[in-house]
Amino acid sequence: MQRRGFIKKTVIASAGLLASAPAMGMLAPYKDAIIGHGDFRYKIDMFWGTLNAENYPVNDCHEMVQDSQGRILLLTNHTKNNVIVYDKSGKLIEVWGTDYPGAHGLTLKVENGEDFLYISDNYRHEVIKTTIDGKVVQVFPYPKASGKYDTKEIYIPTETAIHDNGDVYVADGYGEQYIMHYNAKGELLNTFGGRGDADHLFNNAHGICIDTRDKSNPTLLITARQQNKLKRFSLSGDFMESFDLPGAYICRPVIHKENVYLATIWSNDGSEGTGFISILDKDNTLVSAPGGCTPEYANGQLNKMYQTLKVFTHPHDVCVDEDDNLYVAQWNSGKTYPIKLLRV
Amino acid sequence: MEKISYLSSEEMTMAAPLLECENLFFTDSVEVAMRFSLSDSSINYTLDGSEVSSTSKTYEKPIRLHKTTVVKAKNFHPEFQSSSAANLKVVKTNRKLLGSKIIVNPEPNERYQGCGASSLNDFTKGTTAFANGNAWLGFQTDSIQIAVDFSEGKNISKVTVSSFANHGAWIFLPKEIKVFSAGQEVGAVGLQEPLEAATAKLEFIDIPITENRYNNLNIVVYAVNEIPKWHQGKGTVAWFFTDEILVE
Repeated sequence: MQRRGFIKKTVIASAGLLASAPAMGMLAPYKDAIIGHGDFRYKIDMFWGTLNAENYPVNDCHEMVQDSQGRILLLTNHTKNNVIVYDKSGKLIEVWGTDYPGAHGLTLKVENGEDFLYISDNYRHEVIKTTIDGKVVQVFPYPKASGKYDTKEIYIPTETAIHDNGDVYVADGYGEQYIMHYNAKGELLNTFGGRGDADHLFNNAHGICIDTRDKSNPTLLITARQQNKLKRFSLSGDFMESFDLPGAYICRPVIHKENVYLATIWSNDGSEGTGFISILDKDNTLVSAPGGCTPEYANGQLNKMYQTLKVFTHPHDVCVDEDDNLYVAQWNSGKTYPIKLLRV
Repeated sequence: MEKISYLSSEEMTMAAPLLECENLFFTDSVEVAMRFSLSDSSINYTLDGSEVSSTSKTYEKPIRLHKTTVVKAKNFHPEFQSSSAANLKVVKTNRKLLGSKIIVNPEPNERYQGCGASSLNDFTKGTTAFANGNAWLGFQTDSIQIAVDFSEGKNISKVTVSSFANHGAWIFLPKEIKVFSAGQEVGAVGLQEPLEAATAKLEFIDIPITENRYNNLNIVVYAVNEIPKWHQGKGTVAWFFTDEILVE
């Protein structure tokens, strides 16, 4: 309700300003706003998933996934209900989870026909694997065997990616910037990355996913958020290529059909409240930026991106459903619930 | 099924345009460019400090300015709400501090040392990308003393401390700045504590000085020693950034 009040006030204040202007006569009749570019344009449902905050509170809305039943799961770092399960219309189905004070990363993987969740917890310094209804089945503690960590406190995992063979990749995005590669049993196979400016290193390795668009040759896509780059690595941890998205502080890559979707938490110079959504095509070119400026390339380089419309504050993750609609979870945005973008 | 009420065009507000220039300080002239890439939007601006309206001048190409100017600009659109104003102050300066000796105490934090105290009279304006370049000195202490020793006496009526706020990066404008000469306070200015996080912004803090001929000035900056309650860093000492000291 806070948002509705805010919007009303804004309209009144600005209407006063416009009333005397000749432009008033040119105002189009009431119609739904459309954001985005090219084929990726959306209407905005600001109130999708809004619940009574006394019963179902959220702090940061960190990540969202869709399960095999088509339900939308939201992960928040409020320990009254770390996981909130919605239907696609935003109606509450159930909540669970009270043990994830640093709930940050949420990845869903179907294993032998069953949905499993991998929760990266910033405060617990570990990754927890659960069933779809929240029973813990496995814990990946801090990777002592890597030799990179003297204490568990410096390991602050932000995201996981799960390969079809059961291997688990964990990005230590708020810690030492390494990527841990485990087998399904939780044995550490490899560690790569680390902090730095070189191609194979990271500054805020915030998000990771397995790029399955080339079915015969899956690879890893990892965000270097502070560097405004999306980096491709082989499954064995070798750097392959990097995509520059100047001005776009991208959180995690989400593969859907032939596109990559990335919540972009800040833009331009990294100021507060300047987020938007980035959508890349099959060649990893930015083709639409709902809430952001028109993507323009000059000599193969993307011009620096910035926010143009005040829709989002700090988008932290995008979930894409089978109809290509987007569900956007936001960090540090006044404890608001997710926003849905309906593709038009 | 319930009817979904989508955000309407009238409820949509635009972000402010981007204002850019090579250097906020200049001796002769400076060019200011404006950017905002959104279909059907236009940028209107003023150069006399007045508020921008839909009848203000429309931006077409970069503007060359020859005197100290506050540029204000807003976006307008046939359907969306106009943006808030973007402000940019460009300062014509006389480089009076050239040749002066500047001592900063304590030393800036090792992460943001610029080119040492000489950054404060090198005539280079830092940008909001504060971690890049050598323009900014960054401090994380309660107070910072900047002692300026002119090579000869100068008539001075104003000191300007060029600073920067980026609450997301825990960088705040100071609470207060006092200017002393020969142990006497000759000027002071207090700043309001921000009530909520604002966007990153370059600021010039003017301190009126009792007009006189001075051989030296001691500028004492009192940083925000307790970050306000609304910020995740509440209670801790904020960062203070400065890149230039100007006198008039």
